[in-house]
Amino acid sequence: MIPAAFDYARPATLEEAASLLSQEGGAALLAGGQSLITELKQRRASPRAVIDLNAITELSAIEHGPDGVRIGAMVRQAELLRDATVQKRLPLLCETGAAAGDPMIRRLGTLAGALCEAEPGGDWVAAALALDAEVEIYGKDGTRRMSAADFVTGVKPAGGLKGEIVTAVHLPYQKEDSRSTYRKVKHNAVGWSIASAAISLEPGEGGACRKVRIAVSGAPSHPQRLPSLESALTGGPYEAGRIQTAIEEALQGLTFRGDHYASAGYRRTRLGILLSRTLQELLAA
Amino acid sequence: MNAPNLNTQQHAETGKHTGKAMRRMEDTRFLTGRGRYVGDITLPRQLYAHFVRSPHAHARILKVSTEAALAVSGVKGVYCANDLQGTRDVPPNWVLPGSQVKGRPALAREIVRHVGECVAVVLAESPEAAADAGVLVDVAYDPLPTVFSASDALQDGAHKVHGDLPDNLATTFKTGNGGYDEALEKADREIAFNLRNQRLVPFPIEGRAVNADFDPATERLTFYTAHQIPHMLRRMLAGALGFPEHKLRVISPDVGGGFGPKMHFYPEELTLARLSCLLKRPVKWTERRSENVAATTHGRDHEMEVRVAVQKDGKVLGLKLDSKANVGAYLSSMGTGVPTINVALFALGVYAIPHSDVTITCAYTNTTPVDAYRGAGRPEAAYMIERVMDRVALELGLDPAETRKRNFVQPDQMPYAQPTGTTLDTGEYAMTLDLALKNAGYEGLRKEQEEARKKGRYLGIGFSNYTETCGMGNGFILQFVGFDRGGYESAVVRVHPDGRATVLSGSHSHGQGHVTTFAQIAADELGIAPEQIEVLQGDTDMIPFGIGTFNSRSVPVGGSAVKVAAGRVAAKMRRIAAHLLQCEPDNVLIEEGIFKAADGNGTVTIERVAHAAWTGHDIPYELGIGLEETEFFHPQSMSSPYGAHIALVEVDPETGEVELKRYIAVDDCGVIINPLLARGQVHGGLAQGIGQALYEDAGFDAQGRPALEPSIPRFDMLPRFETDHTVTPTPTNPLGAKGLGEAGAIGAPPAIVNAAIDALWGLGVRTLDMPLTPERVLTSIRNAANKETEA
Ligand SMILES: Cc1cc2nc3c(=O)[nH]c(=O)nc-3n(C[C@H](O)[C@H](O)[C@H](O)COP(=O)(O)OP(=O)(O)OC[C@H]3O[C@@H](n4cnc5c(N)ncnc54)[C@H](O)[C@@H]3O)c2cc1C
Repeated sequence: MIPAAFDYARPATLEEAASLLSQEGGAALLAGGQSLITELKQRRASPRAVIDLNAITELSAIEHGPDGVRIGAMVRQAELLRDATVQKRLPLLCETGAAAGDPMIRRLGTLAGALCEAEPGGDWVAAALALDAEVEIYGKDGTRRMSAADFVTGVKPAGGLKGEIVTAVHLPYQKEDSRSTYRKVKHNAVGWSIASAAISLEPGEGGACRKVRIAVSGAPSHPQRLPSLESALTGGPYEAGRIQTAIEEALQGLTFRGDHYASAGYRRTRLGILLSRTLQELLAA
Repeated sequence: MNAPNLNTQQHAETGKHTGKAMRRMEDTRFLTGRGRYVGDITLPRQLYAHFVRSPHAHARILKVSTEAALAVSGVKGVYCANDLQGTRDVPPNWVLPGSQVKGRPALAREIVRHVGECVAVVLAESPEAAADAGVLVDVAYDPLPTVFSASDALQDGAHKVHGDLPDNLATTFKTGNGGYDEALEKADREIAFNLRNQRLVPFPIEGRAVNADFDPATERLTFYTAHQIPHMLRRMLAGALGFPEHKLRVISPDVGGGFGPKMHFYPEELTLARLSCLLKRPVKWTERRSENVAATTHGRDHEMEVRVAVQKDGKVLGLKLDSKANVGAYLSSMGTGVPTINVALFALGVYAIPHSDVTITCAYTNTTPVDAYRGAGRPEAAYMIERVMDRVALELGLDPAETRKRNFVQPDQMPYAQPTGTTLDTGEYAMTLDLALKNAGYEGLRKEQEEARKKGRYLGIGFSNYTETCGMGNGFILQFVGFDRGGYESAVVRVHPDGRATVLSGSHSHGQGHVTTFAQIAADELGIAPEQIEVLQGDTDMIPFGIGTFNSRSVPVGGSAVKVAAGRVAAKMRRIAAHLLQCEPDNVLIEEGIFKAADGNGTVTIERVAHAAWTGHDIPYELGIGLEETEFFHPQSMSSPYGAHIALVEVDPETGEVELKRYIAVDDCGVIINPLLARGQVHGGLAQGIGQALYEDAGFDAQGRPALEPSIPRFDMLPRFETDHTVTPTPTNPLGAKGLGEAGAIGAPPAIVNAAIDALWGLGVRTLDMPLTPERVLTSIRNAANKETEA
């Protein structure tokens, strides 16, 4: 698999990268390359130039604040999962990461790259959505922040980026008492998700949940939160029939995708079962 | 896991080195990145090829426009069918008498008949230029109607794959002793059902690769290719090319997996050889994964209807099989042989079934040609007969192990000629099954199953007592079935003046570890350590004509050749040593390179003996010069490895997901040369068999394009295998070894599917088709439930 010819640049600063990016004819940014290189090799993408972000050191920092973390765009997924504070304060992200790709992919892949790629079966995207992540974007008019939900809408490029560069992903820490999990049904051929859910529950008074965040991936056309299910589950009571109805209602509004291994109909069924089993488990805990 | 337990009366005769779990000597090289594959070989003045392939399953080629491609810098040329005048189609090499033969064109002429068929080839000074130009070759097509399955192709009025073949029929094969209807009259019941042995993509890690190098000075063609059968390829290539065979050298260096597809002769090989001769430059091509899934041969693809006449006690009185086999758009090398002979002969498995009627019909379709893939026909047969046995047991409320025992061919009936045409040479089927039952803890498993059912969990236990034949041999029989190959294998054993040895072998390892096993075999004969022996394969200039590696034949046939040749060299060394020791040759013992007289009088080293042999000093003239022997080992008949496999699965009735919880395999491949490598073969075969049962198919879309990413299992998708062996040595070769390479792939699919059906039988599920994707299983559960509510 040989890509079409392209120019290659390896800028050392963000400004330089942005100015290269603004030049004529499409250019692609290269982070970990775990998605982009395949695109190039299969000639699904033939950009005029590839701008490599790997030399921009300012993108490689993990900065912990009082309420959350700022993850530089070039922080590797594996590095992120090794960070002690991330392990402690963002268990959902770590659980998700362990199910995303394999060690070789995580060794090079980045969280920001995964969000930009916004694969329909992406695990990282589901976690970022459920964790209320924000994406930090650098452009000629300065820096702006966008919620992950606005960034990943199923339309490419993610965030409608135009000559802009994602510089970081911001994640608020999970509440100490929150219960969360990531559950994934793998596509046997490729290891991506055919149905998965990132769920975080914050317990409130008398066993009822104060806050519920649920993001699904793999089955629907693109990873997304399920607001109707979230609100149905905010405040009890949690009897099985009610949960089931709420799941059904939430799935009704979605468009599903399928392939020869698992059809859209099966993915829908499987996602329903996944949600119902996981919620029962978490609510019982 | 423990070394194999040799729990048989006829203990294997193993030596100082054979029978030992020696680690592979080649692994240091492979694990440190020093493997040398065709892709690693780049020659001076190298040209690179890029094939332009059909995106259509069936279309007329209207026009091939090459201007834009030719304008790419570094492009040498773009070639189509009419540039290869005088080149024959790639002919099949196994043609059942009476077949309608359509070989694969080197490059398509006028019509393409499957996705991935080669239409043109770009040659350029760099792989990049070739690839850039490849996408610029503009082919205009007029799509034609398609037919993808054998049953559709055989319908009246089906679209024709080849204009001059009105019925798409490649061949029909019938065997068995007949009398099914009589059997039915005597029987208590008939059980009938349909089976599908789905098409698989073999998927070796290394794709195909070729470097064709015609040297105008010597007028020799050196042809590097990732192949399993270098000598056979030389013969086939020389024939199709019209090139003198003695000037054609095939070199197959390290090969990264084959599984069957690398034993065929391909259009790309013929095209590149022709172009190298025309251009007088070396031409290199390494296959892309998208080419591998579309243009390298596929495996299996049978649609079967089976009926059995049974007694209440589970005894099967008659079997009738009607199978439709899809051979693809053209006949690949083993053309109409694999889907007929290799299936039909084994239709009765290890059972004594008085009456049988077997018919196999092979049809052309607009799909990639189908050929041998690990097991090559025997998995299809084993899947059918083993599904039958569990089905009979379930229908009659009998235990499937007991049902099998009531039908087994008995040890005192060996050798047993099955009326379908194969001969079972040895086998103690009940003994092997009993060991599997014991290893599984069968009674406990049934209890566990019952307990689980009470809790709403669905466990299932499935069996498979496969057999096959291995060690393809005897030219006479091969001729009879239209297989244009020999059934022998070559070996040269040479002891050098320093006492070390070289073994040349016509077998060709593509991952099996011959460098180690063959050295173990030779070491026992020669009385030196395996580390003192180098095993060389894969170069037709260096190695006497051989047949190559397939049909699990390398140890039984190739290994036997090594043993016989080494034995003759050893005999000569004994005679020389006896002369030097002044004793009788029969009295000479060899151990670790030292010859001793049995009565203890003096010793002489192998170096001394070898020096004498290669100088003629110190020895009588009549002993002759040298320590080198060539053997073409030609077995009289083939051996029949067999095994008893048990699978334990749990099915989630809500999701349809099948979890393989345990896999117990007891295989009998006769004498085991290296238990560690034997286990590796079992593991690899099982992984592929489990892949077929649970995950894989070619995944054609509506346009006939195979899926780019077949669901091959990774190791985290497999359970820990519980393997064991019984040893009933075969009398068909001097090693007593039967072959094991394909066993797992043959045994696993029926065991697993039987287990899943066993789990769901109570829910009304009667049959399931492979692969057992959750969706398919769930649909079956739901259909069964709907039937129940209707009833
Ligand atoms: C075999 C395989 C299996 C995988 N399995 C999984 C899986 O199971 N689950 C899962 O979630 N993921 C999986 N992945 C995907 C992997 O997680 C993503 O490919 C990876 O995270 C993308 O990050 P990257 O740094 O490699 O991005 P790249 O490949 O470098 O870039 C991806 C895209 O984002 C753009 N981009 C990258 N960085 C920026 C930036 N800072 N600003 C703007 N645009 C940017 C690029 O231009 C490109 O279009 C798999 C990948 C492979 C190869």
